[in-house]
Amino acid sequence: MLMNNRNKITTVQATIFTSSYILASGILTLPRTVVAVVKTPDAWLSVLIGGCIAIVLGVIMVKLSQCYPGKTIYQYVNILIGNWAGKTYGILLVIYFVVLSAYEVRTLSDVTSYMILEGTPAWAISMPFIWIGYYLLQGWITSLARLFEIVFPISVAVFLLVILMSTKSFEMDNLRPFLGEGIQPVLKGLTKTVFAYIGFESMLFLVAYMEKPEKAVKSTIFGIGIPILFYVITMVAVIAALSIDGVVHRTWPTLDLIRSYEMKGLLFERFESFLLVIWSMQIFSTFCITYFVAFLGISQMFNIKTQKVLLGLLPFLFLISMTPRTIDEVFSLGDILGKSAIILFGFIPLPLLILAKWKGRVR
Amino acid sequence: MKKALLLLILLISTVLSGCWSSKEIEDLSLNVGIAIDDGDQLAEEMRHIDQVSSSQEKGDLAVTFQYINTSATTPDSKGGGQKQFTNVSAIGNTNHQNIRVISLREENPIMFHHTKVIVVSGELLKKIGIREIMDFYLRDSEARLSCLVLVSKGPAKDTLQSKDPAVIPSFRLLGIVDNAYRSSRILNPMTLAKIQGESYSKSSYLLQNVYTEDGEVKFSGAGIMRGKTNKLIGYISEDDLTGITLITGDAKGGPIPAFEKQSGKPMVYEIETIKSKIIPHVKRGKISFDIKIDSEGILSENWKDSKEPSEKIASEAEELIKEEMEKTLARTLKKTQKHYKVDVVGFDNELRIKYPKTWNRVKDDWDATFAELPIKYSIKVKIINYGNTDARS
Repeated sequence: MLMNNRNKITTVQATIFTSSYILASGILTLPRTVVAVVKTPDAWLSVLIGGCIAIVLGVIMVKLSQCYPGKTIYQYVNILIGNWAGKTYGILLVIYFVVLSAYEVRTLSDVTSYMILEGTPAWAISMPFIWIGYYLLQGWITSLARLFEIVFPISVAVFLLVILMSTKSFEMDNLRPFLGEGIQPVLKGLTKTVFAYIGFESMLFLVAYMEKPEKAVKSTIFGIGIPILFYVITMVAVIAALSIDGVVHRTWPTLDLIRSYEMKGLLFERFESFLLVIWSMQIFSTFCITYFVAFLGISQMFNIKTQKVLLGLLPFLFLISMTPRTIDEVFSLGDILGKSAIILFGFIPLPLLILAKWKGRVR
Repeated sequence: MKKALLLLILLISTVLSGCWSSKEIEDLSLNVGIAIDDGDQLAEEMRHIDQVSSSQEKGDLAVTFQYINTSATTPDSKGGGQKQFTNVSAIGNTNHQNIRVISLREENPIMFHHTKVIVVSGELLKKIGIREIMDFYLRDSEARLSCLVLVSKGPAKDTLQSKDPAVIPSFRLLGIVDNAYRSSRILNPMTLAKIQGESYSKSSYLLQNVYTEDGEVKFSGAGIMRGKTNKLIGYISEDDLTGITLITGDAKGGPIPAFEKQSGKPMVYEIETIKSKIIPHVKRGKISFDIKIDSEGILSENWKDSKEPSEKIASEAEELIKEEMEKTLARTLKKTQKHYKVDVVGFDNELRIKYPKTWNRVKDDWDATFAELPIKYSIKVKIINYGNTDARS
């Protein structure tokens, strides 16, 4: 039922899908987390290199998925490494996606309650959010893809607009010297910047639903390339405006960049609400994707009906999102997620690919 | 039946929905400016109300909040009518405490989404670092980071006064900053966003100073902030500020006067374009700086009645203006480098960019190192226009 043609997505949709997945909560804090490690103005370079690594990892996953046409990771990992090991990996993936999904909900409710809806309880922000996600998933992967197709161009346009308007507070001196302390600090930053591209793993599932799976490599490169562009522009603008000494002390540096200027004489003077709107849409995208992928895992591995799994996951998402008590706990949850992503999607897919190729040749 | 129920639910939800914790805008006080003074100094003056309101006799901070008087009638040109603004002050140990004291005294809560300017008293800045004073506003999500920070040599709360009821003092301060293209004595605006970085970097910087007298204000020189302590150590005058903006290249459009040697008659040069460069040199571990200033401009005023051709007037004037600028530079550098022994111009930035290794060696005690460094300067002035008189015949 799930495999008919109506449930296929186009190459462009797959690209936007990946980009939407990657761009999420990270963009507001990225400049701080990276500069805190790199400590020189070259932090943006670290983001760029991190992106290239993410592309390589992404392509490995595409190649792996292409070995098993029409199957998602949950389905082919069993064939590849045996039932037990496969199930274990699958369950780890599901846990990871559920927690990541809850984490996105939590950051959204934290930022909105602090910045716009002061006084509104967290549950009142996150519950409608989760329910709308549930409603969207009724339409399966195609409605997700179509929603992103609408939302993503708006996000890109608004994002570029608000960042480019910050040029007034742009100070070139804050970005120099270039590589003043050599490449060493930049490489150190990679431990943080590769995390920023979590979401490149979308190809483990997407290839199975693509109309033209042979074009998956292309859509991975573009799907990760767009976030690279976003991130580098953000890093450059934020560091140039706030200086590296300022960036490390701001909780949400990207938001602060928008808060540091006012446009007089325009229809709008301040633009942080615009950024928050597109940012919420991007968080929603990521939330829906992770929710979808988690549910996909459970229903494909254990052959359970769609509706039951979708509904069953809802309370977990909500409860996990409410678990961290302080903002520090939220950020350390993010750190843990980042590290597990590197293990799950950084180190494991390559051996799997080699295994798959080897098995293919033996056969 | 089902449809009707659905319709009913939809209808109810449109009626009942709304912002969870919304407040009517009429019930809010829109803060536009804040003045922070030394609480000890103003304790006498403000005793009448704060003594009854709290157990503490005096606090570290005396904070004045200016908000827009939304109910005021528009004043007429003769100065009649109500004031457009209201100032409320409170004394306490911290900023946040002071804000909550206001809640005990005013009917509407204050909100800081539209705060445009924060003026800090210089006396207070000598005692408490700017990081501590600004911490609340940097932490809070209400005040925007575009908010401007100024220093006042006198009581800061006086800068938020005005004689003309039609003028809102906070907006006046904000407006003056925009005149930077007309004067070489206005610094690039220092916003909260930049304060955050400055207060954590070790380098020294300037904050625009506001002089005030009897409800009038004037931008007058700048307060010098030592980077290590983030405290104010002194002031430089308006004229010396010209020296700074000449070196940084921010002097966009200020008039530079010079006087003819024999007659003493003035001529004025208006800067059209200015290109300034600080070039650091490191030779065998010895640091030195070259300043190169290249400016083109207009002879905007000339009192000397001259029959000479314009080229001659120009070359004479150029020479005089150049000398004048050199004098200004020498005076400014003497003041900052030798007297206060701080680098407020940004020599450190150039060294950091060009010679990162040398910079790492000297950065911990940069101000002291800087005080001993040789600085050379060369200035080029070119008059490219004479306005509507003295054109070549």
